[in-house]
Amino acid sequence: MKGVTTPEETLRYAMSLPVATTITGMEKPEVLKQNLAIAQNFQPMSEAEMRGLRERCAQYGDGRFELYKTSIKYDNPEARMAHGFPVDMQSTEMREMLKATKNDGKPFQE
Amino acid sequence: MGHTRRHFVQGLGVAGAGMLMDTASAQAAIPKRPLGKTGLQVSALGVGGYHIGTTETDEEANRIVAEAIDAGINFFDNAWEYHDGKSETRMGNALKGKRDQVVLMTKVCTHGRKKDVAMRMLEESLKRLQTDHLDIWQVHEVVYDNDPDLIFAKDGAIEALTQAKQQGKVRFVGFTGHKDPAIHLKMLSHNYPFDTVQMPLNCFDASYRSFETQVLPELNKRGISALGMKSMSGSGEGVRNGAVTAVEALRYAMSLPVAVTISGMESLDVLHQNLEVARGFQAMNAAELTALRDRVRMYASDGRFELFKSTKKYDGALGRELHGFPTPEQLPA
Repeated sequence: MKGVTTPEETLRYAMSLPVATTITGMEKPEVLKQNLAIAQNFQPMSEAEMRGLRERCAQYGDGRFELYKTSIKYDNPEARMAHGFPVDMQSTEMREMLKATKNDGKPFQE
Repeated sequence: MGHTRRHFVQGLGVAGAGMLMDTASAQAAIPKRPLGKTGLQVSALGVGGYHIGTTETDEEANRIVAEAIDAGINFFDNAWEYHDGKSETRMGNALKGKRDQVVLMTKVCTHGRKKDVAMRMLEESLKRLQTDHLDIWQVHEVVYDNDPDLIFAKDGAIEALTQAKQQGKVRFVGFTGHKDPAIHLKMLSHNYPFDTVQMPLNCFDASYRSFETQVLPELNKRGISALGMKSMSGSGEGVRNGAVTAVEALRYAMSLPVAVTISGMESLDVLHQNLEVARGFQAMNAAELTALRDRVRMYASDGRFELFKSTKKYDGALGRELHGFPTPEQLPA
C-alpha cells in the first residue's frame, strides 16, 4: 500500500464490514502478533471513520492496489492453463508466482 | 498499447484463385458509411495508427497508406503516444498531398492529467501529422476505473476537447478504451456531446464483458458514431489458436452497426488480406452472426482471446506509470 494506510487501518476496516470472518495471510510470527493485537482489542470502526478512510483512498481508485482484479498476477497458473491464458516462463511475474506456489508450471498430474 | 503484438497473416487459399478474385473484386468499392451525425462519410475499414509505426520501413508505411487510399479507405487512426510519436510522424509524411482526402483521427494521452497537457499534445500531433486540424480527436486509453472522474474533473481533458473544437483545431471529439464496458458507460453518463466512441468489437466480445451488448446500443440510441477496433483480438490470438479465421473475424466486426472497423496493418500482406474482405463488403446476416458467436463462446467467455480486457498486457507504459501500476516488464500478462 506504499504508505497510504497502516496495516491496522486496513485490517480494522475489513473486520468492520458485515462479514463472518476476515481471513488474512500471516507468513511470520510478527504478522500474527500484529493482527492479534488488532483482533483482541477489536472495536468496529464507526460509519464516519469508514467513510473517511474510503475517501482518503479514493484517489487510488484505479485498481493499482488491487492487482488481483486488474491483472492476472494473482491467478493460479493451473487455472490459467486450463483457461488457455498465457503462461510465459520468461516473465518475472510468472517465475515469482510459480516459485511461491512450488508449482513447476506443468499441467496438474493426477 | 500492446508492446508484444505480432505479425500474422491468415492464408487465403491458393495464389491463383486469390489473383483471380483480386481482379474481379478490384472493381467493387469499399462501402462508405455515415460517421454518426457529423455529416462525414467514412470507409467501413480504417487504417490503425499503431501498426503504421511497426512496419519495417518508412517506405512500407508510405505504400500501405497510399494503397489504402487508392482502394477507397479514407479513415486513418493514430495516437500521440504510439511509438513515441513515430506513428504520427510516419502518417504525416505518408499523407503529404493527400490530407484532404481522408478523415484523420488521433488521440490525446493525458491519462488523468490536465487540459494544459492535452493542448500541448494537440500542437505536437498537428505538427507531426503536418496538418492544421484534426477531423477527430479522442481521449486515449480510458481503461482505469477512475479515468472518467479525472477526465471530467475541473481543468480535465474534457475541457481541452471543448476548447480545441471551439478553436477549430479539431472538428469532432470522442474517446476510446479497451478495458471494460462499465468505464465507457461511466464516460457516457456525463452526457458530454461526444461525436465518436471507439471500442473493441469482435466475435469473442459478445460473450465476455461485452461492448457489443452494453455500449454499442447506447451509442446508436444517442446517435454517437461507433468506431470498432480489435477485430482480431488485438494480435490475432483467436486466429493463431484456430478458433476463427482472419476473414471471419474481420467480417464479423464489420457487420456490426459501426461507422468503421479500424484494423492495424503492419504489412502490405495484411492490407491486401483486409481489402479482399472490405471490397464489395456484404455484411453477415443475423443468423450468421449468432452462429459465429455461439461457435466461439467456449473460448470467448473467459477472456483468453481478449487479453486487453482480462490482463494488463495491452495497457500502455505511460498510462501505467501515471496510474502507479507496475511496468509492462514487471507485469506482462
